[in-house]
Amino acid sequence: MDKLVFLIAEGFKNIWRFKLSTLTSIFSVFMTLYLIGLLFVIGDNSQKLIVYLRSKYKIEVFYRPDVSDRQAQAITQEIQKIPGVRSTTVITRADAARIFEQQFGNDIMDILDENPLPASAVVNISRTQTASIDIAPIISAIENVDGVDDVNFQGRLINRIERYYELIYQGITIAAAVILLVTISIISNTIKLTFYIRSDLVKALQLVGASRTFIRIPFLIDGLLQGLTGAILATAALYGTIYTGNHFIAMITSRVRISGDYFIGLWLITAALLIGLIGASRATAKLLK
Amino acid sequence: MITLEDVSYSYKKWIGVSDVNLRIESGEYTYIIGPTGSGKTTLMRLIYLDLKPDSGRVLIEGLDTNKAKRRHIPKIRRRIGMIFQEYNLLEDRNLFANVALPLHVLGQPRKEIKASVDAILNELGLYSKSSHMPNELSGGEQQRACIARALVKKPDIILADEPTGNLDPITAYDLMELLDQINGRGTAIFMASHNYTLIRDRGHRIIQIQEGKLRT
Repeated sequence: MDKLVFLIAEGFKNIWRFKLSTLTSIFSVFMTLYLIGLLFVIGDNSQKLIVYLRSKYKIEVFYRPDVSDRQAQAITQEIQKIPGVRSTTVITRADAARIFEQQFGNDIMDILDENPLPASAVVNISRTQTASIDIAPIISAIENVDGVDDVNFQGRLINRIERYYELIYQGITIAAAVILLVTISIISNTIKLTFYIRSDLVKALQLVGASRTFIRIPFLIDGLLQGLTGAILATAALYGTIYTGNHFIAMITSRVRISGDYFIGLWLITAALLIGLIGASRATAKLLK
Repeated sequence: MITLEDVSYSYKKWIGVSDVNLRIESGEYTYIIGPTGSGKTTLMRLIYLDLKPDSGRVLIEGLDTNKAKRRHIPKIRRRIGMIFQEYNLLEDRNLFANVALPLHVLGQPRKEIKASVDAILNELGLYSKSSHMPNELSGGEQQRACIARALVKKPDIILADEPTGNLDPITAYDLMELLDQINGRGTAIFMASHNYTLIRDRGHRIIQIQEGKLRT
Protein backbone atom coordinates (compact mmCIF):
# COMPACT_ATOMS: atom_id res chain seq x y z
CA MET A 1 0.00 0.00 0.00
CA ASP A 2 2.81 2.39 0.97
CA LYS A 3 4.55 1.47 -2.27
CA LEU A 4 1.46 2.43 -4.26
CA VAL A 5 1.15 5.72 -2.38
CA PHE A 6 4.80 6.43 -3.20
CA LEU A 7 4.27 5.70 -6.91
CA ILE A 8 1.12 7.81 -7.14
CA ALA A 9 2.89 10.65 -5.33
CA GLU A 10 5.77 10.41 -7.84
CA GLY A 11 3.25 10.61 -10.70
CA PHE A 12 1.74 13.80 -9.25
CA LYS A 13 5.20 15.21 -8.58
CA ASN A 14 6.10 14.65 -12.26
CA ILE A 15 3.11 16.74 -13.27
CA TRP A 16 3.87 19.48 -10.78
CA ARG A 17 7.59 19.64 -11.62
CA PHE A 18 6.98 19.88 -15.35
CA LYS A 19 3.97 22.13 -15.29
CA LEU A 20 4.61 23.80 -18.62
CA SER A 21 5.06 20.68 -20.74
CA THR A 22 2.17 19.03 -18.89
CA LEU A 23 -0.09 22.02 -19.50
CA THR A 24 0.85 22.01 -23.18
CA SER A 25 0.02 18.33 -23.39
CA ILE A 26 -3.28 18.76 -21.49
CA PHE A 27 -4.23 21.62 -23.82
CA SER A 28 -3.45 19.46 -26.87
CA VAL A 29 -5.47 16.58 -25.44
CA PHE A 30 -8.29 19.00 -24.63
CA MET A 31 -8.33 20.40 -28.19
CA THR A 32 -8.17 17.01 -29.88
CA LEU A 33 -10.80 15.44 -27.63
CA TYR A 34 -13.01 18.50 -28.09
CA LEU A 35 -12.72 18.00 -31.87
CA ILE A 36 -13.48 14.30 -31.51
CA GLY A 37 -16.48 15.19 -29.32
CA LEU A 38 -17.71 17.69 -31.92
CA LEU A 39 -17.35 15.06 -34.63
CA PHE A 40 -19.28 12.67 -32.43
CA VAL A 41 -22.09 15.23 -31.96
CA ILE A 42 -22.14 15.96 -35.71
CA GLY A 43 -22.22 12.22 -36.45
CA ASP A 44 -24.95 11.59 -33.87
CA ASN A 45 -27.13 14.43 -35.16
CA SER A 46 -26.51 13.39 -38.78
CA GLN A 47 -27.64 9.89 -37.88
CA LYS A 48 -30.83 11.26 -36.31
CA LEU A 49 -31.43 13.46 -39.37
CA ILE A 50 -30.90 10.47 -41.64
CA VAL A 51 -33.36 8.38 -39.63
CA TYR A 52 -35.88 11.21 -39.95
CA LEU A 53 -35.30 11.57 -43.69
CA ARG A 54 -35.48 7.82 -44.21
CA SER A 55 -38.85 7.81 -42.48
CA LYS A 56 -39.99 10.02 -45.34
CA TYR A 57 -38.76 7.63 -48.02
CA LYS A 58 -41.85 6.29 -49.74
CA ILE A 59 -42.03 3.59 -52.38
CA GLU A 60 -45.39 3.34 -54.07
CA VAL A 61 -46.09 -0.02 -55.71
CA PHE A 62 -48.98 -0.21 -58.16
CA TYR A 63 -50.43 -3.60 -58.95
CA ARG A 64 -51.81 -4.71 -62.27
CA PRO A 65 -55.48 -3.66 -62.85
CA ASP A 66 -56.61 -7.30 -62.75
CA VAL A 67 -55.21 -7.86 -59.23
CA SER A 68 -58.02 -8.20 -56.71
CA ASP A 69 -57.86 -6.78 -53.18
CA ARG A 70 -57.20 -10.28 -51.73
CA GLN A 71 -54.41 -10.86 -54.23
CA ALA A 72 -53.03 -7.42 -53.34
CA GLN A 73 -52.80 -8.49 -49.69
CA ALA A 74 -50.86 -11.63 -50.68
CA ILE A 75 -48.50 -9.72 -53.00
CA THR A 76 -47.85 -7.14 -50.32
CA GLN A 77 -46.90 -9.88 -47.88
CA GLU A 78 -44.36 -11.11 -50.45
CA ILE A 79 -42.92 -7.59 -50.69
CA GLN A 80 -42.73 -7.40 -46.89
CA LYS A 81 -40.26 -10.33 -46.97
CA ILE A 82 -37.74 -8.47 -49.13
CA PRO A 83 -34.57 -7.56 -47.13
CA GLY A 84 -34.47 -3.83 -46.29
CA VAL A 85 -38.27 -3.49 -46.20
CA ARG A 86 -39.51 -2.31 -42.81
CA SER A 87 -43.26 -2.07 -43.29
CA THR A 88 -45.95 -2.14 -45.95
CA THR A 89 -49.45 -0.73 -46.18
CA VAL A 90 -51.94 -2.10 -48.65
CA ILE A 91 -54.18 0.35 -50.46
CA THR A 92 -57.14 -1.53 -51.88
CA ARG A 93 -59.01 -0.29 -54.95
CA ALA A 94 -61.76 1.03 -52.63
CA ASP A 95 -59.13 2.82 -50.52
CA ALA A 96 -57.70 4.35 -53.69
CA ALA A 97 -61.16 5.62 -54.67
CA ARG A 98 -61.57 7.16 -51.20
CA ILE A 99 -58.20 8.88 -51.45
CA PHE A 100 -59.16 10.18 -54.88
CA GLU A 101 -62.36 11.63 -53.46
CA GLN A 102 -60.49 13.22 -50.56
CA GLN A 103 -57.99 14.82 -52.89
CA PHE A 104 -60.24 15.87 -55.81
CA GLY A 105 -63.62 16.18 -54.12
CA ASN A 106 -65.44 13.90 -56.59
CA ASP A 107 -66.39 10.26 -56.39
CA ILE A 108 -64.69 8.52 -59.28
CA MET A 109 -67.67 6.14 -59.63
CA ASP A 110 -69.85 9.15 -60.41
CA ILE A 111 -67.47 10.26 -63.12
CA LEU A 112 -66.59 6.95 -64.80
CA ASP A 113 -69.24 4.50 -63.51
CA GLU A 114 -66.43 2.15 -62.55
CA ASN A 115 -63.28 2.24 -60.41
CA PRO A 116 -60.23 2.18 -62.71
CA LEU A 117 -57.78 2.72 -59.86
CA PRO A 118 -55.54 -0.30 -59.22
CA ALA A 119 -54.73 -1.71 -55.82
CA SER A 120 -51.36 -0.57 -54.57
CA ALA A 121 -49.05 -0.60 -51.54
CA VAL A 122 -46.85 1.88 -49.75
CA VAL A 123 -43.50 0.39 -48.78
CA ASN A 124 -41.27 1.85 -46.03
CA ILE A 125 -37.67 0.80 -45.78
CA SER A 126 -35.44 0.16 -42.73
CA ARG A 127 -34.16 3.47 -41.45
CA THR A 128 -31.97 2.92 -38.41
CA GLN A 129 -29.01 1.09 -39.97
CA THR A 130 -25.68 2.96 -39.88
CA ALA A 131 -24.58 2.00 -43.40
CA SER A 132 -26.11 3.75 -46.34
CA ILE A 133 -29.12 2.14 -47.88
CA ASP A 134 -28.87 0.91 -51.46
CA ILE A 135 -32.38 1.34 -52.79
CA ALA A 136 -31.81 -0.24 -56.23
CA PRO A 137 -31.88 -3.94 -55.17
CA ILE A 138 -35.06 -3.35 -53.15
CA ILE A 139 -36.79 -1.71 -56.12
CA SER A 140 -35.58 -4.45 -58.43
CA ALA A 141 -36.87 -7.15 -56.05
CA ILE A 142 -40.27 -5.42 -55.79
CA GLU A 143 -40.49 -5.10 -59.58
CA ASN A 144 -39.89 -8.83 -59.93
CA VAL A 145 -42.82 -9.75 -57.68
CA ASP A 146 -45.65 -11.18 -59.76
CA GLY A 147 -48.61 -8.80 -60.01
CA VAL A 148 -46.55 -5.60 -59.71
CA ASP A 149 -47.20 -3.20 -62.53
CA ASP A 150 -45.26 -0.07 -61.62
CA VAL A 151 -42.99 1.19 -58.85
CA ASN A 152 -42.67 4.90 -57.98
CA PHE A 153 -39.95 6.13 -55.65
CA GLN A 154 -37.82 9.22 -55.00
CA GLY A 155 -34.74 7.55 -56.47
CA ARG A 156 -32.49 10.57 -56.98
CA LEU A 157 -33.33 12.15 -53.64
CA ILE A 158 -32.78 8.93 -51.71
CA ASN A 159 -29.51 8.21 -53.50
CA ARG A 160 -28.25 11.71 -52.84
CA ILE A 161 -29.11 11.62 -49.13
CA GLU A 162 -27.53 8.19 -48.73
CA ARG A 163 -24.40 9.26 -50.62
CA TYR A 164 -23.94 12.33 -48.42
CA TYR A 165 -24.53 10.25 -45.32
CA GLU A 166 -21.88 7.75 -46.45
CA LEU A 167 -19.42 10.59 -47.06
CA ILE A 168 -20.10 12.21 -43.68
CA TYR A 169 -19.84 8.86 -41.90
CA GLN A 170 -16.53 7.92 -43.55
CA GLY A 171 -15.13 11.43 -43.12
CA ILE A 172 -15.94 11.47 -39.40
CA THR A 173 -14.44 8.01 -38.88
CA ILE A 174 -11.18 8.91 -40.67
CA ALA A 175 -10.90 12.30 -38.94
CA ALA A 176 -11.52 10.75 -35.51
CA ALA A 177 -8.91 8.05 -36.15
CA VAL A 178 -6.30 10.62 -37.25
CA ILE A 179 -7.05 12.87 -34.27
CA LEU A 180 -6.79 9.89 -31.90
CA LEU A 181 -3.38 8.95 -33.30
CA VAL A 182 -2.21 12.56 -33.01
CA THR A 183 -3.36 12.67 -29.38
CA ILE A 184 -1.56 9.43 -28.53
CA SER A 185 1.56 10.82 -30.18
CA ILE A 186 1.32 14.09 -28.20
CA ILE A 187 0.97 12.32 -24.85
CA SER A 188 3.69 9.85 -25.79
CA ASN A 189 6.11 12.66 -26.66
CA THR A 190 5.31 14.63 -23.51
CA ILE A 191 5.98 11.54 -21.40
CA LYS A 192 9.20 10.93 -23.35
CA LEU A 193 10.26 14.50 -22.61
CA THR A 194 9.46 14.05 -18.92
CA PHE A 195 11.30 10.75 -19.00
CA TYR A 196 14.41 12.38 -20.46
CA ILE A 197 14.25 15.21 -17.94
CA ARG A 198 13.75 12.66 -15.16
CA SER A 199 16.61 10.46 -16.40
CA ASP A 200 18.37 11.03 -13.05
CA LEU A 201 15.44 9.46 -11.20
CA VAL A 202 15.14 6.63 -13.73
CA LYS A 203 18.87 5.89 -13.45
CA ALA A 204 18.76 6.04 -9.64
CA LEU A 205 15.76 3.71 -9.54
CA GLN A 206 17.44 1.26 -11.91
CA LEU A 207 20.58 1.24 -9.78
CA VAL A 208 18.75 0.52 -6.55
CA GLY A 209 16.96 -2.40 -8.19
CA ALA A 210 13.59 -1.02 -9.21
CA SER A 211 11.70 -3.20 -11.67
CA ARG A 212 10.61 -1.83 -15.05
CA THR A 213 7.01 -1.72 -13.84
CA PHE A 214 7.99 0.27 -10.75
CA ILE A 215 9.84 2.82 -12.90
CA ARG A 216 7.00 3.06 -15.43
CA ILE A 217 4.08 3.48 -13.04
CA PRO A 218 4.64 7.17 -12.14
CA PHE A 219 4.89 8.00 -15.86
CA LEU A 220 1.74 6.00 -16.62
CA ILE A 221 -0.07 7.88 -13.85
CA ASP A 222 1.24 11.08 -15.40
CA GLY A 223 -0.20 10.07 -18.81
CA LEU A 224 -3.52 9.02 -17.30
CA LEU A 225 -3.90 12.29 -15.43
CA GLN A 226 -3.04 14.33 -18.52
CA GLY A 227 -5.66 12.41 -20.51
CA LEU A 228 -8.27 12.67 -17.76
CA THR A 229 -7.80 16.42 -17.25
CA GLY A 230 -7.94 17.06 -21.00
CA ALA A 231 -11.12 14.94 -21.28
CA ILE A 232 -12.91 16.71 -18.41
CA LEU A 233 -12.13 20.10 -19.95
CA ALA A 234 -13.17 18.88 -23.42
CA THR A 235 -16.46 17.49 -22.05
CA ALA A 236 -17.26 20.76 -20.32
CA ALA A 237 -16.42 22.74 -23.47
CA LEU A 238 -18.49 20.40 -25.61
CA TYR A 239 -21.61 20.67 -23.45
CA GLY A 240 -21.03 24.42 -23.38
CA THR A 241 -20.91 24.48 -27.18
CA ILE A 242 -24.12 22.41 -27.49
CA TYR A 243 -25.88 24.63 -24.96
CA THR A 244 -24.76 27.83 -26.71
CA GLY A 245 -25.59 26.39 -30.13
CA ASN A 246 -29.12 25.49 -29.01
CA HIS A 247 -29.53 28.91 -27.45
CA PHE A 248 -28.82 30.60 -30.80
CA ILE A 249 -30.90 28.08 -32.78
CA ALA A 250 -33.82 28.66 -30.41
CA MET A 251 -33.78 32.33 -31.42
CA ILE A 252 -34.42 31.27 -35.05
CA THR A 253 -36.61 28.18 -34.76
CA SER A 254 -38.01 25.89 -32.09
CA ARG A 255 -38.23 22.87 -34.42
CA VAL A 256 -34.51 22.10 -34.61
CA ARG A 257 -32.26 21.25 -31.68
CA ILE A 258 -28.73 19.91 -31.43
CA SER A 259 -28.90 16.78 -29.34
CA GLY A 260 -25.96 15.91 -27.12
CA ASP A 261 -25.71 12.33 -25.97
CA TYR A 262 -25.57 12.16 -22.19
CA PHE A 263 -22.74 9.62 -22.48
CA ILE A 264 -20.40 11.75 -24.64
CA GLY A 265 -18.48 12.83 -21.55
CA LEU A 266 -18.16 9.26 -20.38
CA TRP A 267 -16.94 8.17 -23.81
CA LEU A 268 -14.43 10.99 -23.98
CA ILE A 269 -13.07 10.26 -20.50
CA THR A 270 -12.78 6.54 -21.26
CA ALA A 271 -11.07 7.34 -24.56
CA ALA A 272 -8.74 9.80 -22.84
CA LEU A 273 -7.74 7.29 -20.17
CA LEU A 274 -6.98 4.73 -22.86
CA ILE A 275 -5.12 7.31 -24.96
CA GLY A 276 -3.10 8.42 -21.93
CA LEU A 277 -2.28 4.86 -21.00
CA ILE A 278 -1.30 3.87 -24.54
CA GLY A 279 0.76 7.05 -25.04
CA ALA A 280 2.63 6.65 -21.77
CA SER A 281 3.14 2.90 -22.27
CA ARG A 282 4.59 3.47 -25.72
CA ALA A 283 6.98 6.15 -24.46
CA THR A 284 8.24 4.28 -21.41
CA ALA A 285 8.48 0.92 -23.20
CA LYS A 286 10.71 2.49 -25.85
CA LEU A 287 12.89 4.37 -23.39
CA LEU A 288 13.37 1.47 -20.99
CA LYS A 289 14.45 -0.98 -23.71
CA MET B 1 30.32 -14.38 -4.12
CA ILE B 2 31.20 -12.61 -7.40
CA THR B 3 33.24 -14.37 -10.03
CA LEU B 4 34.41 -13.09 -13.41
CA GLU B 5 35.68 -15.76 -15.80
CA ASP B 6 37.58 -14.71 -18.95
CA VAL B 7 35.39 -11.63 -19.22
CA SER B 8 35.90 -9.29 -22.16
CA TYR B 9 33.94 -6.26 -23.18
CA SER B 10 34.61 -3.80 -25.98
CA TYR B 11 33.03 -0.48 -26.74
CA LYS B 12 32.70 0.58 -30.37
CA LYS B 13 36.08 2.26 -30.55
CA TRP B 14 38.08 0.91 -27.67
CA ILE B 15 38.50 -2.09 -25.41
CA GLY B 16 36.74 -1.93 -22.04
CA VAL B 17 38.18 -5.03 -20.36
CA SER B 18 39.95 -8.06 -21.80
CA ASP B 19 40.11 -11.62 -20.42
CA VAL B 20 39.44 -10.60 -16.83
CA ASN B 21 39.45 -13.34 -14.19
CA LEU B 22 38.50 -12.19 -10.72
CA ARG B 23 36.87 -13.57 -7.60
CA ILE B 24 35.46 -11.48 -4.75
CA GLU B 25 34.55 -13.39 -1.61
CA SER B 26 31.79 -12.51 0.85
CA GLY B 27 32.86 -9.76 3.23
CA GLU B 28 36.07 -9.12 1.32
CA TYR B 29 37.46 -5.61 0.76
CA THR B 30 39.06 -5.27 -2.66
CA TYR B 31 40.56 -2.22 -4.32
CA ILE B 32 40.95 -2.01 -8.04
CA ILE B 33 43.45 0.61 -9.08
CA GLY B 34 44.40 1.96 -12.45
CA PRO B 35 44.57 5.14 -14.50
CA THR B 36 41.55 6.83 -16.00
CA GLY B 37 40.17 4.78 -18.91
CA SER B 38 41.86 1.57 -17.75
CA GLY B 39 38.56 -0.34 -17.42
CA LYS B 40 37.63 0.09 -13.71
CA THR B 41 34.17 1.49 -14.39
CA THR B 42 33.53 -1.09 -17.13
CA LEU B 43 34.27 -3.80 -14.58
CA MET B 44 31.82 -2.24 -12.11
CA ARG B 45 29.15 -1.94 -14.80
CA LEU B 46 29.61 -5.59 -15.71
CA ILE B 47 29.12 -6.56 -12.06
CA TYR B 48 25.93 -4.54 -11.58
CA LEU B 49 24.59 -5.77 -14.90
CA ASP B 50 24.64 -2.47 -16.68
CA LEU B 51 26.69 -4.23 -19.37
CA LYS B 52 26.75 -7.81 -20.59
CA PRO B 53 30.14 -9.31 -21.43
CA ASP B 54 31.02 -9.94 -25.09
CA SER B 55 32.67 -13.16 -23.95
CA GLY B 56 33.25 -14.96 -20.67
CA ARG B 57 30.80 -14.87 -17.81
CA VAL B 58 30.02 -12.97 -14.63
CA LEU B 59 28.63 -15.07 -11.78
CA ILE B 60 26.85 -13.44 -8.85
CA GLU B 61 26.12 -15.92 -6.08
CA GLY B 62 26.37 -18.62 -8.74
CA LEU B 63 23.94 -16.93 -11.13
CA ASP B 64 25.39 -16.47 -14.60
CA THR B 65 24.43 -12.93 -15.60
CA ASN B 66 24.51 -13.92 -19.28
CA LYS B 67 21.58 -16.20 -18.58
CA ALA B 68 19.79 -13.76 -16.28
CA LYS B 69 16.45 -12.66 -17.64
CA ARG B 70 15.50 -9.00 -17.61
CA ARG B 71 13.28 -9.50 -14.58
CA HIS B 72 16.23 -10.94 -12.61
CA ILE B 73 18.34 -7.80 -12.98
CA PRO B 74 16.45 -5.65 -10.39
CA LYS B 75 16.59 -8.51 -7.89
CA ILE B 76 20.36 -8.83 -8.27
CA ARG B 77 20.82 -5.08 -8.03
CA ARG B 78 18.89 -4.95 -4.77
CA ARG B 79 21.78 -6.91 -3.22
CA ILE B 80 24.36 -4.44 -4.50
CA GLY B 81 24.96 -0.93 -3.15
CA MET B 82 26.42 1.60 -5.59
CA ILE B 83 28.53 4.65 -4.81
CA PHE B 84 29.78 6.95 -7.55
CA GLN B 85 32.28 9.78 -7.84
CA GLU B 86 29.38 11.95 -9.04
CA TYR B 87 27.07 11.63 -6.09
CA ASN B 88 23.96 11.00 -8.18
CA LEU B 89 21.63 12.32 -5.50
CA LEU B 90 18.25 13.46 -6.74
CA GLU B 91 18.17 17.24 -6.59
CA ASP B 92 14.39 17.44 -6.33
CA ARG B 93 14.10 15.81 -2.91
CA ASN B 94 15.73 16.13 0.47
CA LEU B 95 18.36 13.90 2.02
CA PHE B 96 15.82 11.72 3.82
CA ALA B 97 13.85 11.06 0.61
CA ASN B 98 17.05 10.29 -1.31
CA VAL B 99 18.17 7.70 1.22
CA ALA B 100 14.65 6.25 1.49
CA LEU B 101 14.42 5.59 -2.25
CA PRO B 102 15.77 1.99 -2.24
CA LEU B 103 13.39 1.06 0.57
CA HIS B 104 10.39 2.36 -1.39
CA VAL B 105 11.57 0.13 -4.24
CA LEU B 106 11.66 -2.81 -1.84
CA GLY B 107 8.11 -1.96 -0.81
CA GLN B 108 8.81 -1.47 2.86
CA PRO B 109 6.11 0.14 5.02
CA ARG B 110 6.47 3.84 5.74
CA LYS B 111 7.18 3.33 9.45
CA GLU B 112 9.99 0.87 8.77
CA ILE B 113 11.45 3.18 6.14
CA LYS B 114 11.53 6.06 8.63
CA ALA B 115 13.19 3.92 11.28
CA SER B 116 15.82 2.51 8.89
CA VAL B 117 16.66 5.86 7.28
CA ASP B 118 16.86 7.68 10.62
CA ALA B 119 19.16 4.96 11.93
CA ILE B 120 21.55 5.05 8.98
CA LEU B 121 21.62 8.87 8.86
CA ASN B 122 22.35 8.92 12.58
CA GLU B 123 25.13 6.42 12.14
CA LEU B 124 26.74 8.44 9.36
CA GLY B 125 26.34 11.72 11.24
CA LEU B 126 23.77 13.14 8.84
CA TYR B 127 20.62 12.95 10.95
CA SER B 128 20.50 16.70 11.56
CA LYS B 129 20.61 17.27 7.78
CA SER B 130 17.66 14.97 6.98
CA SER B 131 15.53 17.73 5.60
CA HIS B 132 18.35 19.43 3.68
CA MET B 133 18.32 19.40 -0.10
CA PRO B 134 21.44 17.91 -1.79
CA ASN B 135 22.69 21.34 -2.88
CA GLU B 136 22.71 22.40 0.76
CA LEU B 137 25.22 19.67 1.66
CA SER B 138 29.00 19.72 1.36
CA GLY B 139 30.81 17.29 -0.96
CA GLY B 140 31.71 14.99 1.92
CA GLU B 141 28.15 15.04 3.23
CA GLN B 142 26.78 14.27 -0.22
CA GLN B 143 29.13 11.31 -0.55
CA ARG B 144 28.13 10.06 2.89
CA ALA B 145 24.51 10.44 1.82
CA CYS B 146 25.30 8.19 -1.16
CA ILE B 147 26.83 5.66 1.19
CA ALA B 148 23.72 5.88 3.38
CA ARG B 149 21.55 5.27 0.31
CA ALA B 150 23.70 2.27 -0.65
CA LEU B 151 23.76 0.86 2.88
CA VAL B 152 20.15 1.38 3.91
CA LYS B 153 18.96 -1.69 2.02
CA LYS B 154 21.65 -3.82 3.72
CA PRO B 155 23.44 -4.98 0.56
CA ASP B 156 25.83 -7.93 0.35
CA ILE B 157 28.40 -5.82 -1.46
CA ILE B 158 29.11 -2.18 -2.11
CA LEU B 159 30.58 -1.16 -5.46
CA ALA B 160 32.33 2.17 -5.03
CA ASP B 161 33.51 3.82 -8.24
CA GLU B 162 36.09 6.49 -7.38
CA PRO B 163 34.10 7.61 -4.32
CA THR B 164 36.83 10.01 -3.18
CA GLY B 165 37.39 11.56 -6.59
CA ASN B 166 35.63 14.83 -5.77
CA LEU B 167 36.66 15.09 -2.11
CA ASP B 168 39.48 16.96 -0.40
CA PRO B 169 42.18 14.76 1.21
CA ILE B 170 40.84 15.01 4.78
CA THR B 171 37.25 14.20 3.77
CA ALA B 172 38.56 11.42 1.52
CA TYR B 173 40.46 9.93 4.47
CA ASP B 174 37.30 10.09 6.65
CA LEU B 175 35.35 8.34 3.94
CA MET B 176 37.95 5.57 3.72
CA GLU B 177 37.64 5.09 7.49
CA LEU B 178 33.88 4.89 7.15
CA LEU B 179 34.14 2.25 4.42
CA ASP B 180 36.52 0.27 6.65
CA GLN B 181 33.91 0.33 9.42
CA ILE B 182 31.19 -0.83 7.04
CA ASN B 183 33.41 -3.66 5.83
CA GLY B 184 34.14 -4.56 9.43
CA ARG B 185 30.45 -5.38 9.84
CA GLY B 186 30.64 -7.96 7.04
CA THR B 187 29.66 -6.03 3.91
CA ALA B 188 31.98 -6.76 0.99
CA ILE B 189 33.41 -3.69 -0.74
CA PHE B 190 34.81 -3.44 -4.23
CA MET B 191 36.27 -0.01 -4.71
CA ALA B 192 37.82 1.55 -7.79
CA SER B 193 40.40 4.29 -7.39
CA HIS B 194 43.28 5.87 -9.23
CA ASN B 195 44.75 7.25 -5.99
CA TYR B 196 47.27 4.65 -4.84
CA THR B 197 48.47 6.74 -1.91
CA LEU B 198 45.01 6.68 -0.41
CA ILE B 199 44.65 2.91 -0.38
CA ARG B 200 48.13 1.39 -0.15
CA ASP B 201 48.40 1.28 3.64
CA ARG B 202 44.90 0.09 4.45
CA GLY B 203 45.78 -3.57 4.40
CA HIS B 204 43.23 -4.75 1.87
CA ARG B 205 43.62 -6.65 -1.36
CA ILE B 206 44.71 -4.45 -4.28
CA ILE B 207 44.22 -5.38 -7.93
CA GLN B 208 45.75 -3.38 -10.72
CA ILE B 209 44.11 -2.81 -14.09
CA GLN B 210 45.72 -1.31 -17.15
CA GLU B 211 44.31 -1.10 -20.68
CA GLY B 212 41.52 -3.45 -19.68
CA LYS B 213 43.76 -6.22 -18.35
CA LEU B 214 44.25 -7.18 -14.70
CA ARG B 215 47.78 -7.27 -13.25
CA THR B 216 48.47 -8.84 -9.92
